[in-house]
Amino acid sequence: MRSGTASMTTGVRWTYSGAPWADFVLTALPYGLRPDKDKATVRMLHTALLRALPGESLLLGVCASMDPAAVVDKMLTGIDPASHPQWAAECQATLDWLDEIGPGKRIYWLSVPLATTSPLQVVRQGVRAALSGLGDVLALPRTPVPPAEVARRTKQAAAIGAAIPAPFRPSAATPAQMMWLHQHAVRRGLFQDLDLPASGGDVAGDLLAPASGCVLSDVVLDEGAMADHDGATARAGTLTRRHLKVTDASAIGAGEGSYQALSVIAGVPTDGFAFPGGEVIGRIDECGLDVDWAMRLSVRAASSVIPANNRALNNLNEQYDQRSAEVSHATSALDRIGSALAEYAKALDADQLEVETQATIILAVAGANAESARAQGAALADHFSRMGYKLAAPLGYQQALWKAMQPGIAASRAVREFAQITTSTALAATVPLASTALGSAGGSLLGLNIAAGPMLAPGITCGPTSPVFHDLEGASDADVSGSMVVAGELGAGKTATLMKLAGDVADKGGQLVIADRTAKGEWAEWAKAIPGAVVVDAAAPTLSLDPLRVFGIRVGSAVMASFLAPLLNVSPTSERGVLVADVLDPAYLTEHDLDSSGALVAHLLHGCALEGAHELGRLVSAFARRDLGRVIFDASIPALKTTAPAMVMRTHGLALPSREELEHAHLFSQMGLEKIYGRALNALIAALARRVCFADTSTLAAFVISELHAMTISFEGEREVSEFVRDGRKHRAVLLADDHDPMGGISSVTLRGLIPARILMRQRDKTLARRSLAWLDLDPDDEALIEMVRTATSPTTDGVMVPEHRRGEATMRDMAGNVGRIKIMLPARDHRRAAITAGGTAAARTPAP
Amino acid sequence: MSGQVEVVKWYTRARRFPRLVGRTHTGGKIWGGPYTITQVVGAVVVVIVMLNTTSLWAKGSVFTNVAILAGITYAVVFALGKMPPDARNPLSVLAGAAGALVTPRQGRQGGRPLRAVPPQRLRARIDVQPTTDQRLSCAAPTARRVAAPVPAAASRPELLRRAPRPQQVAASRLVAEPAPEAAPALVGGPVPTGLQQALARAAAGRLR
Repeated sequence: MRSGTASMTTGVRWTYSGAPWADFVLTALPYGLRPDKDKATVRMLHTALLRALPGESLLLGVCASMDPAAVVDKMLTGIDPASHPQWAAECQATLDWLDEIGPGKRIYWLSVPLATTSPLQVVRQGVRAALSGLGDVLALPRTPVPPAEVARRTKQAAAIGAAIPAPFRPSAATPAQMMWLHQHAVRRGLFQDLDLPASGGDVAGDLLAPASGCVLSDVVLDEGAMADHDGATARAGTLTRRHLKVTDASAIGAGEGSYQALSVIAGVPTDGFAFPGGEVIGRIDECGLDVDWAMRLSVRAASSVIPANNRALNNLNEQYDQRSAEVSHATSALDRIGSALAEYAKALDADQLEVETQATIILAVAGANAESARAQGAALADHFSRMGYKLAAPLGYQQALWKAMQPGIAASRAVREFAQITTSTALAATVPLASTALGSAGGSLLGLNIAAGPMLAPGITCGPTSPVFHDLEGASDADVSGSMVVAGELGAGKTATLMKLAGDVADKGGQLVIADRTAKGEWAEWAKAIPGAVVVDAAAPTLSLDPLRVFGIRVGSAVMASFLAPLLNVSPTSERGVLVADVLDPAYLTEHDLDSSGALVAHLLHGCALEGAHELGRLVSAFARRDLGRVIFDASIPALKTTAPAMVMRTHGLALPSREELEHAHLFSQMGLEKIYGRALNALIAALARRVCFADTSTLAAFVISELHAMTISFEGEREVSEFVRDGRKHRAVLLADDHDPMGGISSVTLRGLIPARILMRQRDKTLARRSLAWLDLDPDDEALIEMVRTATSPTTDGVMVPEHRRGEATMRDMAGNVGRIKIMLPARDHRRAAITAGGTAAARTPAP
Repeated sequence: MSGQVEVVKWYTRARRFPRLVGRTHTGGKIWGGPYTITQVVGAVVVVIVMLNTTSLWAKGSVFTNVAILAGITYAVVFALGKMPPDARNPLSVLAGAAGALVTPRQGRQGGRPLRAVPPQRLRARIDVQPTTDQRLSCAAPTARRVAAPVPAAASRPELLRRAPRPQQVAASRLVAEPAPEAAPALVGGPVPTGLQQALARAAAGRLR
């Protein structure tokens, strides 16, 4: 087939049939797990879009495979691979598994024929198109489209673009993009797509100078793949072979064919469909196949529909007459048609702007062989029949349907035959341009967007699946933190998710401070994979956290003061508070040569002349004497060096007070020394993390907290964490935390609001599921959502094990507030993955390969 | 989600519904009716065709002939009545079937059937005539000059085109596709970037 296009420029294509067409690339609107109110808005915008397209038009949604290299490129933005070999290795390994998964996305395309009003122009246009075709037959050099015509049509196209609702962000399709679309249609199902060329790269000038007509390659269309069959029965076989073999005629050598099964919606549910929920086109990816769809639209004003409706009414009346003698249920069937007709007239009448939309919805699936195309076609028909739609692959019309999916080709008889009639408001409820985009533009590759459905098997995604990124550096345009909290039940994969992100920080040359409360020491185990990582075990210290030695006297004295305040329960203005301030004055410490906490305690007990110093010393040494106190007060243990790339602070076995104990004076006064100490040490770790992470604004740093509630249960801890998140962005420092109950773990509304990126993994408890949904800004009372979190997220097969390809599923709210579904992928490199799975509760969560 | 669910309707059936004929234009009831338009048209066509081809089939008595005509017409009407009421226009179905049956052996290109040219043998019987210069240089070997070789291949743009991205192995869905050849066909598509070529090489290496 010769493509219908004779010449192209940015936004406009001239065709052999005469009328030029305007082409736009559209952006889909966020849909997915949005509240109903937002969905209604998206539908309204679709209605406006349909009303802006009077007459013929073609709306396309094609699956484009994404170039894994382009995906990985986003991971490398702003990072020099040469100076971060670990990150480069991770990117390289990611490239491999992405290549096997074959990530994809959907490209939305709108093509509208441009009207020609003046009769003279109609003649001119026809003559030019005919000459263009004749010239090609005679192999004459092409004559360029006159500049005045180019300017006029571009302007006309721009006017159409301006009428399209702005949220769809229509951008005039460049010739390179038009060519991409053509190549895509020819090679559908062969996974040979390159990335869609960027808008703006204007090669129009070059391409419009028509040195040759070979920009869009010639195509061989073979109905029923006749070329593959020999013998007497080959021809008869075309009656059963409902597919089309498409080959690029210009391919050198034996070009492999793309086997495409094209079908069209031939029957619609007579009782209608639900909105929201019945978005047959918007949710097409849920069928699990890479489906390209095309909507051939014919939009007419309500006034011009009236005659057609009247004719239908007359026919209906005649039918009542014709069938009056019949003994059957004919009358009730006719009554139904009558009421539908009345309803339709009413719908057109109700809104002055309402239009009639006739949509022929064509669907294409394709594979590298006929059997693949056939099986996919059958699966697609099955998917549609479940939604009440009948798909037909009309015999002998495969070519016609294929052509109907190309811009620049006028609607054929086959298209009109299968047109489904409704109003723009109703057609908009199929929400064709629905996006489930999630995550940031680049950064860490968190996982795959599983909005359409979970992975079907290892390495097989449900429909076109795009990667989801999370930028730890935060949103660059808005002052949004890259901090993230992961929630979910035990074993749902919280720790694995955090370990992945923490690993990325380390690979990018960043620094990690990790507060590990797990009894197994999962993080200490994990950190073994990070060269130079150190572990501070509060129970059996080999490194000391003594602030005076870790930070030196000047900074350390301030940290020490914030440690002693909750430990001794002193108010700054009390007698003892003033004494603490005096003793911790850097000048005083230097004067008495007190360079460690141990020395300070000894000084207080024996050498300090200040009033009450001995009592203070006794109080402090009550803690210092204990085993747990060694991590601060034992001067024989070497101090932690804050230059280590990863510092794991193990605080297992540390008793913590409950909220009640802190809030009620009588309980507070009875609190054991362990709990007082535990609370103070947690606050110290938070303060230490803040100082370490904020020290160098040029390096990325992360403070990882396992079980956030342990840190935020004390007011000091909560304040430290809040300040960390609040100021973190300026210092390139992020908080990565997990908790099983985010609403409980982060009781402060302010702190919750400060961390916009949230991941909710499986949560089988109903109450916790509700609370977690509210935390994601979703409706906590929506039964469907609760069930999604409880049973449709990483479900167990036998109550214990989660199949490998279903692990790491979660509901995510990204920095921009979009909520969607994601499957977290573990790091691509084996040893990093092994480090995560070796740690303990996190079971093997290997990515697909 | 939790809000109100609206029922949205398609109105195709309101405008396109099967039309049946149950009464004559005078209002009389048609026996055995109602009939679809297809049945009526079918019956009329059968009767006209048969009446014009009586020489072929009307071999018996008048009574037998009328019985045959009535029988075949009834059979056609009965068969057409078995078509589902919301089926497509039968003419369009027939046109499609006819189109499928006459589809050319090798597909169509530019709307015209594509004919594969059978392999042909190009016979070559050549003798080389030396030029005057060469004759001279043969005569005087000291004057022999060596011409620089002309890179014939460089002038052929096909050979300069680069390989496309390889097929992705795991991208096969639903039905296992045969493993792609290591060297995919050359395409006249967009030229791949350096990174894509590196990928292609890596993938080709992996597949082997």
